[in-house]
Amino acid sequence: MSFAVEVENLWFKYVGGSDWVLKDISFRVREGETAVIMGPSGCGKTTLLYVLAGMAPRTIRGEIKGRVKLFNRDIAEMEPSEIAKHVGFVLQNPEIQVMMPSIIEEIVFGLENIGLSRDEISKRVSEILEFTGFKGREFESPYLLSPGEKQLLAIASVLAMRPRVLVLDEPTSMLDHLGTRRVLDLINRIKNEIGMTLLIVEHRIEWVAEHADRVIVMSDGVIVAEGSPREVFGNKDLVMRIGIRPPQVSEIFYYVNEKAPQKVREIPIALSNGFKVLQSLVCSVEAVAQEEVRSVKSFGEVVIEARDVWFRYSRSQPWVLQGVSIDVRRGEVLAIIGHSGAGKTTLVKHFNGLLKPIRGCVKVAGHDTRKASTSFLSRIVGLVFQNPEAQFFTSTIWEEMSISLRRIGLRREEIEERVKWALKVVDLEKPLNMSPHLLSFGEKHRLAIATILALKPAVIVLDEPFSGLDYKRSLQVLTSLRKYVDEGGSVVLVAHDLQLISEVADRVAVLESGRIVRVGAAEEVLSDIDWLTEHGFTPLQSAIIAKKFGLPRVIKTRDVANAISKCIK
Amino acid sequence: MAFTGLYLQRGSIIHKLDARVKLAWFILAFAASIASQWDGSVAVFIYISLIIGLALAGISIKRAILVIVYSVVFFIVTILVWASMYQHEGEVIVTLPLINIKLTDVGLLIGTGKFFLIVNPITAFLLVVTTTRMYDIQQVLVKLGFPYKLLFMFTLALGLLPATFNEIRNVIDVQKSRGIEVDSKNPVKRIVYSVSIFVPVIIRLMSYAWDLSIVLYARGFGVSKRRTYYFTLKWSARDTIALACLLAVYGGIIVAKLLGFSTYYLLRGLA
Repeated sequence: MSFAVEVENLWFKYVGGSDWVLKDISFRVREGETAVIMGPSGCGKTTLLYVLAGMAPRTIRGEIKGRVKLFNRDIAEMEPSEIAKHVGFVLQNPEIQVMMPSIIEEIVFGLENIGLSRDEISKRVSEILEFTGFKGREFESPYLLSPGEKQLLAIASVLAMRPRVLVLDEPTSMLDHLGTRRVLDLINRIKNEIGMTLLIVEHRIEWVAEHADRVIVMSDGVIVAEGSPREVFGNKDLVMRIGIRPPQVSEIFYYVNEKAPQKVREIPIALSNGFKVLQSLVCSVEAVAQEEVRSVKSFGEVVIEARDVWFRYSRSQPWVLQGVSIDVRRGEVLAIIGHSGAGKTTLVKHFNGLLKPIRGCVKVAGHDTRKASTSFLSRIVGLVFQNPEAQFFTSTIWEEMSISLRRIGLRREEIEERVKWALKVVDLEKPLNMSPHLLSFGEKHRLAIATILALKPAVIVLDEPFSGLDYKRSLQVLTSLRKYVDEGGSVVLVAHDLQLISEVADRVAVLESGRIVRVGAAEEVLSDIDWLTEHGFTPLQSAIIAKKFGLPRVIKTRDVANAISKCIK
Repeated sequence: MAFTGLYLQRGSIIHKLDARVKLAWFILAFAASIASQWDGSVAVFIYISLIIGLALAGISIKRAILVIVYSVVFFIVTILVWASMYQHEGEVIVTLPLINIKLTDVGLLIGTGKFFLIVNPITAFLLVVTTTRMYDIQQVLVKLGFPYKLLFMFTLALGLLPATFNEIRNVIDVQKSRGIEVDSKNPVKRIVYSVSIFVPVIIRLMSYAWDLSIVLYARGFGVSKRRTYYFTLKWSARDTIALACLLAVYGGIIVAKLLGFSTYYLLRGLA
């Protein structure tokens, strides 16, 4: 089998940049192979994809050294039109990739650009509509599609151009569980039915473990490991050192191996195999079940009280919230989960008065939000939005942190003290005179949290705090939040990542079509595998294993591993 | 992110008209507004014809009326400027107190004519872009010799408008959540805090532009000199009738004006 992509000693740095972003990268991908590129944020994954797609250094200017070959031809010698026919590129944000007023126009756009005949376009459109399941919906507006469907459409539009290599940059990172499942199903079909070469930056690790032929791990611009998923995830030291997320089943084996007299050499990466190996390790399943440890937590007084909240954006639009009632108590972490469009962001915008209920009421520390200003409520409830770039407008970290503190009349010494404390909580050690715009995405995110923390609100609400953060940095954010709760604060978390939620949440509320359909202790909700599956969520591997071992209400990998470790033969 | 510009999907008779007819409508309304710039009583009929067009298109005519409401300051200034220039011609309707300007019938006709010279093309433009797909407009203009890339950039700019408004709303919410009083009743504070909105919005738009350039590259934009238009324009009898009506109405106004027709003289009974 010939090679689709060959990268030899590739170096790249952006115009005006002093450091090389890619440093001596070499690897080869065979035709029909699925290679997944992993690594922490800022390690150069996306830049590598830009080079492979012929964008850098042509349109994304920079200095390049080394060689990239596509099907044995040097990419530097190929015309952009040729590269466009060879390589398809899909980005992570589905919103930006949907541009046209109808599904068919979206698919046709690329084909028109490369100058195909009308007959050829017609043939390809019909094929791709059939393949991607959009047949019969050609004239629907893409703007009415869910984020997952938009991403499917973006992939369909690129597929229609019939590339030989499909490059996908975190195609599921901004999607909910249902959207992720549909996109990954389509990618599986592209791999199995078309046999296309796939190069993917992807963090949905369970999928990677099962479907990738090869995993390339990058760190700081260099390839630090390359091999099959089994080889990569089986290497605990590498996984821990780089901070990539292993499959939960592998993580359980990392912990078990710490205590087991006989180490499991070949660490399983798939759930089915993992369970079999674990079964063979323990004395009996019943013994494991007896190891269950339950922790009962108690929380303080109610800080936010939402009662029968109804909301819609205008009279002509449907209700977004339909009779939502929920409390947030002091000292708890409440996670709100739900699919896209369930009303999660709309709900939390009620917590600081950005939105006022049309019916029902929201009380924050006893104040009715309909009668209080957001400016006042922001001192009690701090809301951190998904995108930190929508926040910073001053030229230094100090200014960014102190502006809200000055407004509430604090003295300079108090401001300094709070800024120092908040930056310590989020573990951000940068000079205070540094521009916030020069920080990495993860650092910006932590600074955004710090600006709110410094106000010392009773409740901090985070809308999708893990979006755009790698596993290691997400864990850093979780640690910060835990510190804040330990100091008496409360946290409301809106997120899709059940594993990260399981690490920090005390309670979980599930929102569906503007209604709370379930609320309970995190252990209770996240361990209810059947209910979660029925409602479109992908349950945690740790919870599935725990259930199989008769451990109800156990959801964390470490807890599952601990219970199993105690019963090892 | 939409490249649909301001297009609003409906199944109206105006939507069904060929893009060429609607572009002709815009050009004729523009030309008629130029021809009637000295005669507000004629220019207002052009405006009414455009409002009827919007109503037939099923587009809320509130938008068109809002143009007038929002431009009330501009309207007053226009009338005052032209009234002051023509206060010694024609019959005095009223003498404006404080500024002591005599508003004459001539000043009023010219002032309103000049006002509609600006408002009519804006309304006609809205009529075209809200009822015609950008794809069709581009196709017509490319056939007329306009460069595709330039037209696409124009579409892009229009597409960015709704995204910009969304982004402004988001940033306002973010800053309000930090306790920054972007909606303060104090105008000085509002001006000071407007920086907290515009800096992040500009940064977000730059980020959009970056992502867009990548999406466009990935879809082969500009890689081939030859571009196909999969959907073709189809001229029908309805279009011929519509064009004839437009030519009759606006062409009539233009010709009448070129021949020296004037409401002022008509009112005075002068030939």
